[in-house]
Amino acid sequence: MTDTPTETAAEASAQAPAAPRANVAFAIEIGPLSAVVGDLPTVVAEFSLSLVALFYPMTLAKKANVVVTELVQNIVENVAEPTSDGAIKLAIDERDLVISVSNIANEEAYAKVRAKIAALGTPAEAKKLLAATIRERRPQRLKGGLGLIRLVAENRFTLSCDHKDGRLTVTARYPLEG
Amino acid sequence: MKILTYGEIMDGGASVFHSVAKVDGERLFVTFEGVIRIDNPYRFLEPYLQELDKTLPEQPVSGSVIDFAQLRFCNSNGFYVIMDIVEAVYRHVKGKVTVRRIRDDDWQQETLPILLNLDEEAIASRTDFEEVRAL
Repeated sequence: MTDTPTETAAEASAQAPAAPRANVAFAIEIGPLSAVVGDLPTVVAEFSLSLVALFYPMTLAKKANVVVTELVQNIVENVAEPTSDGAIKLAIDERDLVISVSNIANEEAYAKVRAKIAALGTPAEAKKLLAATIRERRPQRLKGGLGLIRLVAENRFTLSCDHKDGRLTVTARYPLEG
Repeated sequence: MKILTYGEIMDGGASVFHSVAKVDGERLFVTFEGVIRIDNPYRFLEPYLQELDKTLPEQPVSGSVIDFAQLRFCNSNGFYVIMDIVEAVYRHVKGKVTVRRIRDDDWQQETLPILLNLDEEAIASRTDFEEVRAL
């Protein structure tokens, strides 16, 4: 035992020389989504948080947590095709953090998501949209409608989506600084 | 320190979130701790909101502290219930409101001001922030 104060992990990390940025990636495939009986968004999001925090600052791990939560929640809550599987991918390298979530969806569902993403604009514009959407939906406590906006307004991700072979994929990308 | 009321979210038999309203001297403290991840937090927190509406107007306090420093996560389904709790404090308790929040947490820095309704001058003029490091 010693009386010398011990530095916290955060302080030690701040004083340490910059470590090379790690490549971290995982992919999960599950299905059918209609068979999920537990809290899938929480399980995958908390895994993402813990994994990213092993290599990167907690601020980035928290971003991964939010994005995985909201995107996985979207596919679980909006299952149009009960037999659809779900695919969740996360990858970080020295350039960016990329998270994508895909499921089977028709053209109509794709068009809706594409329109939502197109309406988000810049983070500043998305922030105004977030405030307006909260004001509009709060009186009825309407569920949904905030997740994608939040990813841009709050976490400064760039969102995109595509539709290939009947699968809708939503991708969130965050550039790493420096 | 006198505890007025509290609300709690249980998940899988464990407490994952709780909010406590307490009075210390002339100040009201409302704390948030844990994570809000469930689909419908009102299922657990509606009685807490009703209790806040009942007990807060009776408190002889001149200021409040709303403490988010131990709220580790809030999904978008939790936004409205946070707004309702915060609104109860502003509506029923006079004086300054100090909001303790984590300095490097995106949600607490970017979205929380929207949930506090800081666009309203009456709210903004009563609100101060205390920025803290994550515990």
